[in-house]
Amino acid sequence: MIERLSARRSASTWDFPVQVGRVQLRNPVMASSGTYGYGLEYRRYGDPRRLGALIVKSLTVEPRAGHPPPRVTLLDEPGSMLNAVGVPNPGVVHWGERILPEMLEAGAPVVASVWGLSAEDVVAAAELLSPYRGPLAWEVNLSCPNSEHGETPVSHDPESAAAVCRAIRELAPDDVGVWAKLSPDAPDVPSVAAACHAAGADAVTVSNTYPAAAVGLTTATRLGGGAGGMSGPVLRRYVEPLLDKLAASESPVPVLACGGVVSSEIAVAYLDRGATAVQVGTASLYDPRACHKIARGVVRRLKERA
Amino acid sequence: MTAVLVNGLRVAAALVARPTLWPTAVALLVRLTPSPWDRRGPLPSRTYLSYRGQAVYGMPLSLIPPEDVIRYLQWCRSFPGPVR
Repeated sequence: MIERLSARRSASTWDFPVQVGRVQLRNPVMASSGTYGYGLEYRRYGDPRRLGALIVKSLTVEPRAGHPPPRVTLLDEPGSMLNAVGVPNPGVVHWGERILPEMLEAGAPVVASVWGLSAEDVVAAAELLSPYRGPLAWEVNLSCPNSEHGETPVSHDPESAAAVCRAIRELAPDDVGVWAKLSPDAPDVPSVAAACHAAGADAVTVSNTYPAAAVGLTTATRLGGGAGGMSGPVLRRYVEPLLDKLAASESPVPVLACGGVVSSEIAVAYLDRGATAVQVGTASLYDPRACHKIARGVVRRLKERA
Repeated sequence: MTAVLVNGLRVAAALVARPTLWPTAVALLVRLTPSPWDRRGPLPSRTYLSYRGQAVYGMPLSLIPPEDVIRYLQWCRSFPGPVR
């Protein structure tokens, strides 16, 4: 009886299902890649089953140690930071063999994230990921240099981004979504989003961190990895116009808004601007319960409206 | 072990010298405390603290220099929170 009541209460608190392409999520709030580890680290602060999705730290073909410290500079802009962590991770195979089973056992709605130093590396990481079942989707981090077009990131060029998405869509099982994570400083984000969608991506994440060098932030020199990316509320000034542009382009691709989601008010404001779901990042470094608090707030607000 | 102890004392001294940050430090401790009914007790999760140290600083949290701890607390104080 108590279990049934508890389950009903849990359902009413956390359930507001959303469809992201071929995948249905419990609610529209997810933990963004690189800020929530593999979820197991945060388990004592909230049940991972209550989140819409948990996107793991990006995985690469080989293990990576990440950049030397300092990896983070805290910005004067409230709640914002500059980071150059360098994608430390144990590699796809170790994650698939050792960590994924534990995440699945905990009931986490897992989304795997893949990254590489080149477009080819990203596809190779996805290829290694393909034998492992359990992730709801694969998020493709397209913020890597394009080896065929000099230093231009893949996510700046619609054709290159589409080529990576097409290759990864072919590798992913039919019931697994493919989400493309875009850079906010791309010259034409709606064109990149449309190209990724046409190539098989079920959704686009807007966006990754904003390159500090692009806005001339001199504090980048304090980071061991050299240049870094800005995250936190400072990103809202870039993400909001991008959401408006994507809404104006009437693109059918579902958008996952990421950047500066530090409250359920902001999350709902992003949904109002056309996002299908939101990702919580830097807020988790302030409060390990941030994802859960925001998810609960978003579900409550959406239900009040409904 | 000695290095951890020495660094801990340096962090404590830096914090004692900045009473304006004491409420922020207490609020941080509250945020880091798992649910009171957590069967492993009310202390901050070691798994989480270890992850945070490695991911953000590339070193154990217990070795983070006092100036970075103070800067983090100042950042927390300015955070547009509370998260809800």
